[in-house]
Amino acid sequence: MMVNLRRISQIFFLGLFLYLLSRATTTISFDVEAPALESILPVQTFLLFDPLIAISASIAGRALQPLALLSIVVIVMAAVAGRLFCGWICPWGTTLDGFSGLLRKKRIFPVQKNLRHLKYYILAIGIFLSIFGLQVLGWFDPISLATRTFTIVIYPAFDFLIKGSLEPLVGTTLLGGPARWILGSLESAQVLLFRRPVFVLQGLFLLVLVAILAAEFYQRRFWCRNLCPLGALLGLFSRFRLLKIVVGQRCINCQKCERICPTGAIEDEKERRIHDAECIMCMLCTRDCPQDTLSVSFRLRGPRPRLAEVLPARRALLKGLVSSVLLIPILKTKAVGQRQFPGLIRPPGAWPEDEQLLYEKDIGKAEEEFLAKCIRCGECMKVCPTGAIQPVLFEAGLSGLGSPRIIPRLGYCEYNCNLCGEICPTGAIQKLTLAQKQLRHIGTAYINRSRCIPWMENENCSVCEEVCPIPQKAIVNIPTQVSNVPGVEGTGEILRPFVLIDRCIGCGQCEHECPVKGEAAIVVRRLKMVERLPIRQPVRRRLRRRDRE
Amino acid sequence: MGKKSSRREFLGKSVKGALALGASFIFGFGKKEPLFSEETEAATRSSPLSNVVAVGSGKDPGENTLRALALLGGMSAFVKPGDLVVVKPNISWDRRPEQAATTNPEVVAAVVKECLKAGAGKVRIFDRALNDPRRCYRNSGIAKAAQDAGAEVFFPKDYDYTDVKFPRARRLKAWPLHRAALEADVFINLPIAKDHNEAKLTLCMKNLMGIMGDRRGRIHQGLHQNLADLNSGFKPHLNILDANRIQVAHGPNASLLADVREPKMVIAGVNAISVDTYAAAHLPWERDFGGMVEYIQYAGEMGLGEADLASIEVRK
Repeated sequence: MMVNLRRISQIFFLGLFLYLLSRATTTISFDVEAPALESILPVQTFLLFDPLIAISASIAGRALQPLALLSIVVIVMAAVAGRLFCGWICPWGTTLDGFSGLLRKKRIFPVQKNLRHLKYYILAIGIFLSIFGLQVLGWFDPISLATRTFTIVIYPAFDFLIKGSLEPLVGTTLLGGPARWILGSLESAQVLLFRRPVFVLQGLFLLVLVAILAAEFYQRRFWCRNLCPLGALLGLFSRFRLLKIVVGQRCINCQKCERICPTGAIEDEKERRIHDAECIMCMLCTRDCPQDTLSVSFRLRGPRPRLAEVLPARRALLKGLVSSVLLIPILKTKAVGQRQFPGLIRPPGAWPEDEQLLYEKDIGKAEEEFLAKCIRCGECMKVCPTGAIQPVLFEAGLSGLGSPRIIPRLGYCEYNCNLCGEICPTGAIQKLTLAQKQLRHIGTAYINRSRCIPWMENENCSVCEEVCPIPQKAIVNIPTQVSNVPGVEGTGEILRPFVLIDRCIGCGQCEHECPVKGEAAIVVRRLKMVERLPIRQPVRRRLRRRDRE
Repeated sequence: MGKKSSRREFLGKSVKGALALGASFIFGFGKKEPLFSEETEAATRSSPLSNVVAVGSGKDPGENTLRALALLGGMSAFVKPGDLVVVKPNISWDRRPEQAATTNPEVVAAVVKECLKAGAGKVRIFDRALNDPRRCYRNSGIAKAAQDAGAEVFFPKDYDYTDVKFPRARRLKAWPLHRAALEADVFINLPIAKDHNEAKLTLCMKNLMGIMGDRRGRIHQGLHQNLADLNSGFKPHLNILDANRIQVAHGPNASLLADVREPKMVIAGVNAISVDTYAAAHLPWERDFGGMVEYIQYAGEMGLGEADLASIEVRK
């Protein structure tokens, strides 16, 4: 019975997680008064309650996360009922359970090699690195992992599957009507994505997903028992749990519970014990014990965890600390990517407002502060209405993996939108008002005159100027008399575009719409000047105070 | 024995299902004729309204619309009971109505209501936006106004475009157009008048770009001839140009209110070329385009409509 209750809880929370993820998008409502994000709960709710994120973002970011106190709820839950979160709530755990269920393996896995200490390593390394301002726990946190994986891999795959099978039928007489109706309803309910989602690195994140799922064949809940740092953290607090599963007097040592436990929490050491830090309260043992001697018990004073149990974790923590010291220089290295990658356009709000960033090649401090708080959850990528925000591979150094950048060819930064800042759960992308965001430079557009049609082929184009959203336009057309205009004898006048770099904020709509194939003739780069060292100090331009009517 | 027959059943069902699917593909694609054809062309030329431009002026945008329509004989001259009407306003930009980048929602609502009054079976509204379509539909106020007036508002989808040839075209020989525009009994073009850097002015003829699929950046090379070609292949039944508020600078997506003027009129006509000719000459533009817009001139040369201001009958 308890198992059924747990299944219902798991399905409920996974459903809630997916619902919130589907709401992380511009509302489709026609009502001007409607809020940009429409959802019964904040869409980042799961991330806000996550204690691992609260801790690592607070330490690495050198400031307490604003809603960090929410995560205390989950800590208290662990102190009372152990890793109940893992067994009843965590959407990643539910995904793994669902996948295992699909495998339909009636075979109960024998408990194999004990790798449980690994997760304590990861936790220790992560916490230690965050003291040095390096955010790595975001990669391993299950909620962040789930959000990122669903956003980049699973949701687009689901969307593609449905649209790919129904859209070709739309033009047909027989099935056209029903297909159209299904598509329309799913789109209005925002179950289907509004745009065709395109994300770079889909292959990489798919590989990670496949690896974690494949591990299920080796050990049930491999991720949860061996790798999950949130599980490790909750496990630490579980040692003092009040609710625990105890083995009763009628035990005949059949070892069935040991075999059925998905996290390998039950072991026989002179007496059958259930490891407090590993038990996720899945209740399978209580259901399947042939002697019905396992039960949940509320113990204020029970057998305390023995030293032999606790020691492996402590050892792991210490070893982890030592390993971290080696990792710091590797992760902080600028050798791979941070050296002047000119296309690193961060979302508006990722860097502070600072003119000098636009002139200096080294963006070190701004990047460090941003990457310390960015947990790579992918919420910004999900919410961006144009699909501009994409995950980074190594363009920002090794430690920047998975952090967001804007790729204008895939999507531009919508002028009247500030959703990425609104949604970022840790404030890595600061919340900016619309007025602030519209003045925040994230880059500058540069016309490559060797590719631009009016400059190279003497034919009008002007698409970049047309779409530029700046009120006074950051691109102007220079009417030029030229002599090789196609179809015109003598000289003709064509309009050649010119970027006013003081006005350009780098939104990228120009690059996005440029009709030149391959690399656009107008591209957004991070720096205000073509990449060269200034000969003298940059002139203090009035970039921030502009007259707006 | 039970297993064998159920397997056979399953096979049989699958084969039947596959055949039905295949059949629906082969026989099923509902291709309707594009709007241009010799018959419709002849009918349009012989219509008494072919060179008439109606202007409705006044303070209220909705009433201006009604006035202009009345001068053309009322909406019932165009919409017959049961007709499927497709109205194509300008919903292309994420701007508010007072910024005049998109058609005035009051004008849209008035048009929808008139169509329904004339007995239209259904009125559908769409446009292919350049900013995020959800934001455009919402912030322009058009989606809500149209829906409240009784129209079906929808977003155009990539799978709904079919290739249309333009037999009279000089440069743009063919282009995918949205099937809703092609399948309509009545297509009403509902632009807003604006300044435009490459096209000089965006009026009725340019507004048809909203039914085009594919990457429209490509047609900006030789835009003027391409626009004339587009209008040679596709002809709206009615053009209603919203000139209550117009953009005169930094268009077509200006956001400064200082770039907006208020001629407070609606200009309507069956021929887009004539409406555009009148609008180019009579609206308070601030750009000097030499009194002549290239695409209107080309359209006149191709015989698509009356481009000579003197030959246009203006009804006020």
